[in-house]
Amino acid sequence: MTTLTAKPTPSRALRIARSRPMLLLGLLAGAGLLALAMMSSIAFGAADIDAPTVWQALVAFNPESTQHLIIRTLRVPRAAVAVLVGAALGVSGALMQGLTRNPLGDTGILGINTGAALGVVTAVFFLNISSLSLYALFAFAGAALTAAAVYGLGSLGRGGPTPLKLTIAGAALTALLSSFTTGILILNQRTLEEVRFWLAGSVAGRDLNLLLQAAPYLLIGLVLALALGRQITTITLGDDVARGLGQRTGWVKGLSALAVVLLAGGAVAVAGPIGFIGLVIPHVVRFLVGVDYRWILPYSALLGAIFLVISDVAARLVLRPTELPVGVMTALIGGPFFVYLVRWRVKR
Amino acid sequence: MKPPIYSYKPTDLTGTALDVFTVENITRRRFIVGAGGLLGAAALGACGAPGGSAPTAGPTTTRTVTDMYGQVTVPAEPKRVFCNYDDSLACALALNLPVVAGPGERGKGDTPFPAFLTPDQVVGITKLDSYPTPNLEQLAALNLDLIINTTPIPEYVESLKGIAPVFTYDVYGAAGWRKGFETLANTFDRSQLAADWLASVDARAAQLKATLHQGTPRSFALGYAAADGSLWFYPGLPAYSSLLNEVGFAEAGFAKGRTGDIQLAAELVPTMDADVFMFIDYEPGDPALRQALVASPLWPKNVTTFAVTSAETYPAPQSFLALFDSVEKALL
Repeated sequence: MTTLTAKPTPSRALRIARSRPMLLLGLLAGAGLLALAMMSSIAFGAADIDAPTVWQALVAFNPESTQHLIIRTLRVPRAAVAVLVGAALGVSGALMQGLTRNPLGDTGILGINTGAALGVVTAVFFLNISSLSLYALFAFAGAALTAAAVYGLGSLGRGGPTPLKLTIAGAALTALLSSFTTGILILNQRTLEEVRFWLAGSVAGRDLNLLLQAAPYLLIGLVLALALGRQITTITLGDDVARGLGQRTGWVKGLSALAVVLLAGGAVAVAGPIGFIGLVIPHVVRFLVGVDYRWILPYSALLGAIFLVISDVAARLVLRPTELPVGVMTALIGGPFFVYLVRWRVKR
Repeated sequence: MKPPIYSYKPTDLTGTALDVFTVENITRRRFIVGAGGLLGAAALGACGAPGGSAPTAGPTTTRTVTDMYGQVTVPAEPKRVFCNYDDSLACALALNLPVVAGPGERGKGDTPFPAFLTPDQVVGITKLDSYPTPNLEQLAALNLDLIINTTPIPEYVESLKGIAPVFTYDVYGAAGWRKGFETLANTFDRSQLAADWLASVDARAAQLKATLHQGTPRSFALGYAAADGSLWFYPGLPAYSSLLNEVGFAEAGFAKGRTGDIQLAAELVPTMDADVFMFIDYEPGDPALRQALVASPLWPKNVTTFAVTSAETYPAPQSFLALFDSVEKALL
């Protein structure tokens, strides 16, 4: 496991780039980029709709117009879902990397995706559910229970929840729950048919009602995470140092884990398991802003949202008019980029 | 003179005495291990045949026929048949083949057998408990004399061959489902029965065609509703081509000239230019997705929709007759 620490002597240009005014400016620029990405998400899709009609649909909605309906009932909710889910995944990934001091850390370590998948698959198998809002309920329950179990197991013994114990507990439970999920899917054709789209991760077909159900969890998780920025930065220096600086590490870790569950659990409940954002985005952000989690977390939210919105647009356009699940697209974009990033860091 | 006492003392090649396993030197550990092993073997043996041995197929004459993989020797008049999928099960039952086992249930909520099969047709048929790959031990215990296979995977066929002769045919064949059905019938001398079934399907299709399309043929599409609001169409389904070619529907514009699975993204659903849309539901049917889609303001209002079961799209004559009944009920 590698401890994430700053380079001892950053160059002058880097120091300027990471100065407070520049970082604030960067956040503003990111917000602008996000707005552009959202506009492209609303403007482009399987159906050809010209720009004036898109604008009319936003400012002078006509419920009789099919094109306006497409914009308002499909594309706007989809863009909003992508923003919130992307932000949640980015922040939860950053929190996990900080919490476990593991550069490969993401919410998968707490078994969030696996628990959510088992929750949905079990509910489809035993209860025959098929609506996305019920999927969300069971996904969140599965994610929360699994995360609690991993955290509980990882906290046993002396020293409380150490990165190593959390990682081992997460890997063990993930393997166990994955085998349950696979078993049900193999034995049950109907369940496989019903959840295979959900398992790929997608923001398509999610309406505002679904988003509103999950929004409180996501927003509370975001606020909690952003409030913990300073404490997470200290924890990345090591538990002993953090305790030496007077930090109550148990509380910080517990609250961070709670934020991760709210964020990643809410995200997976709405959109299914979407990979790579929680892994890649914090690395990009750390390259841009350094090791201070007071900046890493908001930047991760912003870049996570931008990345997911752009990936979703690409998923709609790359095989147009067929749409790919956005989870496939994030892996297609994120995988090679991550390899590049690793090679670049090794070279440096 | 006392007779010599012969005592066998085994040694290895170097002459060192070997530790021999005799009653005298049984230790407690050896006893426990040995007894445990025997008990385990007995338990396994007891689990092997819960219902006693299955009836055997008995002696029979054979014939050599050609299937998808070449020449195979099958019983001329099979007595215990396993069909590995519901489509071949329906075809075999239509041809009065003595089916004793069928595929496992595809999932909770599905009926054990396709709905178009009546209870008396399926009496005595065992549904195996593993899907899609049958449990070979269960199969072996059934004493089969024929396996009718519609899964064209050579390794899979090889694994079944050790249990009974396997006849593999192309149920979704490029030549149409009728060809596959006739192939099965001809192989087991049931050509006349097949001809009767196909004639009844033809007659029903012609009658439906005459009553449905008084003027211009109605265009139609057949597919699934997905949870993300998109629709999926499978033009390769025999039911699709049957309704196009035999009942005289016209193909919906968006599907013309397209092959393979077709996805209609949620925002293209309003452009679906079909007069009739048939949703394929699992049995007993979960209408939530379908109802949500139809209730959406984007659903084209001029499209007549109704649900058919997935079993009604199997390439088997009873399935098509059921499908035609559903079409007639919905549209007339």
